[in-house]
Amino acid sequence: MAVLARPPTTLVHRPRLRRRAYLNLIALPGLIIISLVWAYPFLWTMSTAFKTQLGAFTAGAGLVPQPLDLDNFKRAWVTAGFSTYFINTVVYATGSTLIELTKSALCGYVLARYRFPGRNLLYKLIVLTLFVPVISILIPQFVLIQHLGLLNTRLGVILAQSGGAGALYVLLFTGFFENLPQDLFDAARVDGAGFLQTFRLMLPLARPIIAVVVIFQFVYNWNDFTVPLVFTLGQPDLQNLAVGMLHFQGTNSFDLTGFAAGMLISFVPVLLVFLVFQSYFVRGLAGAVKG
Amino acid sequence: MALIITLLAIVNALHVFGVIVTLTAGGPGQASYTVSYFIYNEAFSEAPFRYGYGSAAALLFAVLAFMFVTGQAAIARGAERLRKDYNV
Repeated sequence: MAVLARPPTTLVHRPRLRRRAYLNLIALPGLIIISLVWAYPFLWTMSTAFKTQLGAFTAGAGLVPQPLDLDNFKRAWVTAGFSTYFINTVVYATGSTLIELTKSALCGYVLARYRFPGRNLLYKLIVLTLFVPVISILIPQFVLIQHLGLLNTRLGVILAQSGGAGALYVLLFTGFFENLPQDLFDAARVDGAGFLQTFRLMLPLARPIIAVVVIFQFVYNWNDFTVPLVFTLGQPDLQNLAVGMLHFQGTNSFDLTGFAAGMLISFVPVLLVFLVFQSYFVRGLAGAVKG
Repeated sequence: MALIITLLAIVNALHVFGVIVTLTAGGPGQASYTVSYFIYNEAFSEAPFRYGYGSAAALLFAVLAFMFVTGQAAIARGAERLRKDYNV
């Protein structure tokens, strides 16, 4: 049936170039407008960070800060305690990225290069965890961390943040290590390398995947709200930036410009990490599709 | 690929939490209450911390999400097969 339904190949036209150019003329302005609408809230936040308290309200939707005010950053950093939150966030994001990286690299390596009973089941279970809502494992994690005596400590938050299966990363690493030529492993074995030594030889080859994992996990943890909120309920000075933002919301006042300045402060490091790993990142994703 | 993206987007959309806490706190009334926020409220926010009740809700939620995802995947796979058969 499928064969009969296929259209005769002679009737297929190549798309005419001129018509395509016309369509671009219509589509491009539309796309530009849509992306401006999409980017506007972000641009507004950036500009509000430089406005005065009064200016933020009188300027309305305007993007040019007038008069200019740099006091917001000082207020966010010192008064609102963003210096503390900033350090906490760096510690959490770095710590859990390192744990997640080690864990998923080892797991993906073993799944890709070894055949053992239950391997396929394990693989399927890891894929399945992609679809489990984070909130539904939060309470068991909480109770576990509590019994370990790590509640309201930095280590507790890091462990909770890297407590998932990291399914996406494991899949990426498995796909990569599966496609490495067997000769490399044979050569390593001939030279007498054991499990850990072979792994240490192969890991640097996976640099693009490592970049993907670092960017994804770092950004995810940097913006994570649920875990730091729940695990530091009794210790407000251990909160991260995302949770710290809540403190701008007083009962009857809202420090809009300070809030915007805080946003800008918390955005810069993420941008830096992305820029540093960016070139590897694109390459890594391109390779992941093949596997 | 498109299937996986759809499924992941659905699961992500199902557990909206941060937006609810920061913007509406479930209000006005209970108009924007989500399951995640309900679980958080039951288990962590007030003095009798009801872990058991929260866990039950969480388990139910996970099962529902999983059913949703499997159903969606089955439909998408069926549509894909139809499309291949009739070459649309």
